[in-house]
Amino acid sequence: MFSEYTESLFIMAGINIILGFSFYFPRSAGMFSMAQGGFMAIGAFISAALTVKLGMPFYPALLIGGIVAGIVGVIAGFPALRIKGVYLLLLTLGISEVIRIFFLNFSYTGGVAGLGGIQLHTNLWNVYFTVAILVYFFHRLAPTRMGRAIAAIGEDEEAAEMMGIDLTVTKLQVFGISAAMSGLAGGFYAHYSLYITSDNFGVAKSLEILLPVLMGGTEVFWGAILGSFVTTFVPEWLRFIQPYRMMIFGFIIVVMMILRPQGLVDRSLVSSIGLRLRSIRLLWFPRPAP
Amino acid sequence: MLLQQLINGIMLGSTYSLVAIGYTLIFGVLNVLHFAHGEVYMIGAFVGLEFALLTKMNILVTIIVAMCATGLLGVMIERGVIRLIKREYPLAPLSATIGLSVIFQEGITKIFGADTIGFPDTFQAQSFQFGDVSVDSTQVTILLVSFFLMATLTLFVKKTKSGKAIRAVAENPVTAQLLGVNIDRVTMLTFAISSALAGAAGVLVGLAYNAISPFMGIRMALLSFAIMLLGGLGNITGAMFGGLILGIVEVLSTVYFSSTYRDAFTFGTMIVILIFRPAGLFGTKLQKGR
Amino acid sequence: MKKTLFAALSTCLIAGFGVLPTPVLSANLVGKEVVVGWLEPFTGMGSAYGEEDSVTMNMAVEEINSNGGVGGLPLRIIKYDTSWKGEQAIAMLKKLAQTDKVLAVMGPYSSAESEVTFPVANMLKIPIIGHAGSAPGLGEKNRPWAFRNVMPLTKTIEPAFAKWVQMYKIKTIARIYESTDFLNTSEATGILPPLLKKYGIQEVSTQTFSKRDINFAAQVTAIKAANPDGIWLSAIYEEGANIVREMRRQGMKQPIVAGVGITGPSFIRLGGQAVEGIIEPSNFWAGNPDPKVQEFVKKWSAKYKGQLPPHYTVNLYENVYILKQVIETSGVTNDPNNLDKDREKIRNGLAVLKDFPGVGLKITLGSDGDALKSSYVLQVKNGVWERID
Repeated sequence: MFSEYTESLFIMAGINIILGFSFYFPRSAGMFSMAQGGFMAIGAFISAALTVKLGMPFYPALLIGGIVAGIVGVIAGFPALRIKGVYLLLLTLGISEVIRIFFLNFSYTGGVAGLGGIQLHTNLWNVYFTVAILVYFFHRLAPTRMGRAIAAIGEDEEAAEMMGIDLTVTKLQVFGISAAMSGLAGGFYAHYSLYITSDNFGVAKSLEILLPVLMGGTEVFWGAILGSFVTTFVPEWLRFIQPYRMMIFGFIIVVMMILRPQGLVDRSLVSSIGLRLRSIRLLWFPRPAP
Repeated sequence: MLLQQLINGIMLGSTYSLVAIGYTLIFGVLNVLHFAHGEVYMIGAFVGLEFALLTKMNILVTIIVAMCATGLLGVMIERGVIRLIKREYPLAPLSATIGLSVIFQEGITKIFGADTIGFPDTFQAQSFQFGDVSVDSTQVTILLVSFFLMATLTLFVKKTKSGKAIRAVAENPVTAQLLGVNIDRVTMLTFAISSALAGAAGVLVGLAYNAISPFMGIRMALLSFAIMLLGGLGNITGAMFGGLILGIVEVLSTVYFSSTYRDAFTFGTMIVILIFRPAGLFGTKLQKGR
Repeated sequence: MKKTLFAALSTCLIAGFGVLPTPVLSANLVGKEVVVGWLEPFTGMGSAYGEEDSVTMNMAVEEINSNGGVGGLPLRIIKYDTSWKGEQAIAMLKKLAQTDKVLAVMGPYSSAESEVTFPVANMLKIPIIGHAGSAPGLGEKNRPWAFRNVMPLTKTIEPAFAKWVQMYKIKTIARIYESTDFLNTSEATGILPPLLKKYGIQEVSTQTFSKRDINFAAQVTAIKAANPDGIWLSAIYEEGANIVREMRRQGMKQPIVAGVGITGPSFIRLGGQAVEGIIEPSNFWAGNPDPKVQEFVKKWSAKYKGQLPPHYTVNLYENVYILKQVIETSGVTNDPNNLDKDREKIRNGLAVLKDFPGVGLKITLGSDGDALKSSYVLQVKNGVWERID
């Protein structure tokens, strides 16, 4: 269908979308998390160690990587319960670094040498199937009790608590699920790049994840999708000005943030498109029974 | 040896303090994480280096020139980018400044090359020996200059009208505005001062460690976050001591453990402080929603 | 007519190189040009390498094209930026292999980039030859399509170390190495300990540092307190130069021997007076009286601010000529319909490459894909690397 080059860009964009979702999800509950680069490392190293060292098939390994990342996410979520805003951002940034340093020193997964010899299992189909499942998940989640609780917390935490929403449980659920998403993305990343080191993750990765989401917009999950495509493909289109391409890309980011600080996609844009598409959407995504 | 290591730590820490003070000021006044601040520090080092190479002036003149240049750059960043982004979107300045740091890193690479460079040997240091402890003239310069700058800044914010205005905004922007403080002017002044301090730190680090490179700001930015939290957000004295403490912790953990665990110490400290004493070691008011 | 002219030219060229390594099959290439890919960091952390290697690459391509090209056809290089990132290196390798349909690929630079691209080259069945990534085992893991024209770590370290021990009568050492880098860690923790045992040397202190550290006062103070006879240093040149400066600043006068990471003139430029007397093993020696080395150095400096060439860039220069020779002598057709066969021929040609006359040293690619190259022991004397073995 595509050349393998284009395909590899789509795969990278797909992995970035999953990572973008994992940032968007806690954000929708009012929590900024920069720990995604760390959770991603957990998914990547665990799934890769399972397939390489224990010969486990890819899909169970991918799932286990995601689940372990989710569990660590819940644990990391506990301190996050008390902390908000920029404090939370910095706390999660620290968690991300500590996880990276753990893998730098953990010799079972290669330590400083990194983990190689991973088989290629990631392809367009399984990445975008996962993206589709997550889109469906967000779609189905919105009208449920948990979805409404998340939205309420995102709007106003104290009001939500007074309405009887259990902040602790909801926040931990959100943190765990989003960490699991990062873990899945990490598993895909490991089985795509075939060799991973702790250098690939940590804060540097978290910032790389943050950028597409902020460019795309954090109000709706579509922002992560559009943002990932933009940040994956624009630097590629700029290749003709080779040495200056990253500079121009930086310039585009700055200008876009000035012109559209909420990101490319926001709620009003989605609803105006959504009105026109509603009839089509009803065919494809029948709303769940209330 | 311990005494010598403590001196090493204080040396290192005093440059951290200079950069971290800028962070904490900008964050206190604007509630914005300024990711490109590390790059301002880097540019300070390059300006200082070029000036020293061209004019062969002494180190103090070099520092002043670098401070003026980065102060101006800070004002340009504030006027040209930060001010243009609407305040309702706290994350947009974050991504815009990520974009700025890409531009600065790549731009400086294109102008000066990506190679690490050092100051010319005209600034060659003289060594003094006190028993087991050796100190040289560069180290003395660094200590004197950074402590002079920090003392001046403390006097400035405590005694002058503009300084008090900065402190007032940092502590509570709403009240400050009600009291008739010109927020625009204070913001600009904050950027100028913070960036000038970062520029001075850049020259001092370049002088002491002979390691000027377009990427020298990245780690400094992360460390400054940790220091900012250690000292308490918006707390200038806190940032000063935070920097010194972190410098000493880094030096001791490198010597008695291993450098691979050093950053785990740094960020581990940050996490612990956030969980148990979110106001920082030196205390600061906690504002809702931060 | 054209073909005879070309054959004459290429014979001249090969004769100019000295020895005829393998019997020359008459190259029989079709098409308008010979296209080879090149992956290199032009932006990001590694862009200094990209800048230096560009000079080398342009030099090699100009030389080849003004001397009849490759098998009579002009050589064209398609270069892509890796940004010092594995993912980008993979994507660009795929583009080179499938969209640009190049015969073979040179690069990428770092060990980390090579770790991710070499397995992909194996899957895509395209020959790839690196010039700098020196982490041990990289070639062996990625048989049969990946090759490296770099010094094998296991064989290079010992001569320099032995020479240093003998010169300075070393009995005790301290080692300091970058613990966040695989190359430096394997040097200091894999290769060094058996050597210490073999030469009966005692280690009195071990210190580590991380990538892009700038302050080494703490480690140096600790080493100074242990007072060893000499110091082993495994570092990239940037940190390496600053470590040595810090040692001299704190008044340590001990002799220092370093691993392969500090190679090149940048180390001296950055270290200045402080790095006088440092010993290292290297694949290249700019002072080598060999006329080919002198010509290379002269041409390179003229194109790059009058500086001496860094040592790894020579490998890239050699790689261009290695590929030229292999393409010309292993029956490559350059017909787009035969691309797979041509790539296989190039791979087979590389696998049996023996005693290729490089710039100064002869290159044989071993069964693990890594170059079997001898090396020099160099010491900094009056601001330049001088050979001492």
